[in-house]
Amino acid sequence: MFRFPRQIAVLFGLLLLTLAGCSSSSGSKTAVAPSSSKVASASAASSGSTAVAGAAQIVIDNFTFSPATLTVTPGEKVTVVNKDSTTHTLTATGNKAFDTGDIASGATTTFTAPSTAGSYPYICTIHQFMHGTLTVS
Amino acid sequence: MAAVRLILRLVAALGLAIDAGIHAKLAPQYDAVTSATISQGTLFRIEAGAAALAVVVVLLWRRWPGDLFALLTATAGLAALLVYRYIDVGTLGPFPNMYEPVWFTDKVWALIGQALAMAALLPLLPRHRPARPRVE
Repeated sequence: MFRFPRQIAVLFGLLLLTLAGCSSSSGSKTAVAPSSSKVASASAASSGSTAVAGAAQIVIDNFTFSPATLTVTPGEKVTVVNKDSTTHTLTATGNKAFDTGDIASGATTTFTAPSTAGSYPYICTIHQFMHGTLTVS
Repeated sequence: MAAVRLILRLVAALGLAIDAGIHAKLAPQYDAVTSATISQGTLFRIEAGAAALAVVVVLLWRRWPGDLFALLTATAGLAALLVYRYIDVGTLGPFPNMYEPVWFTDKVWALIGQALAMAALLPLLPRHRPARPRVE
């Protein structure tokens, strides 16, 4: 006897149940509100980074740069911490005044802020919807 | 022969479990990659749910529609992973732009799990055999 329709119906029912179970536990998206900071405080102890207390720091978490706007002094070292599972970059748009290159998951890197005052928009070149601004003044 | 099929089922289930686990783990982060309709995180949850269900049907149900469902789940996931790794598709209908030209540990594990499941499931599916000539 050909049992295909019944088997498919059972399979489809199980699929719906499974997806329902998944969706019920998926509403915990943590939004990181864009913020502005004069000089970022380093509180990276939990991530095991080597950031020096008081140094400028940008954290990448859930595909978001935080703070989205950071003001630093010319030539200041900026620490970037990647807390995501995927690789990111922090790259100035235009003439690429700074570029961290690939930052692996869980890694920390630093770059030197430009010596010329100004506003420097940056993105992640891998996920180009991610953006932020570094202000040098 | 039965032992070989059991081993294949166990290998397929292992691959699908890896696939499900990785996608479930990454889903919250990828909620940020979204279109007006659906986020990549939601698509990851669908893949994770389908792969988890596939583990159950491959191990417990053991019928060809279940095996076919598991194979399609692994194949679709693998195809999407490779396409969006190498081709900038952009937004496609309701789907967000999931182009991500980089390999990282979790992505490699998902690839391994899906490939493992495909390799183990293909021999499990029934094949048409030529009818034997009737001996009078």
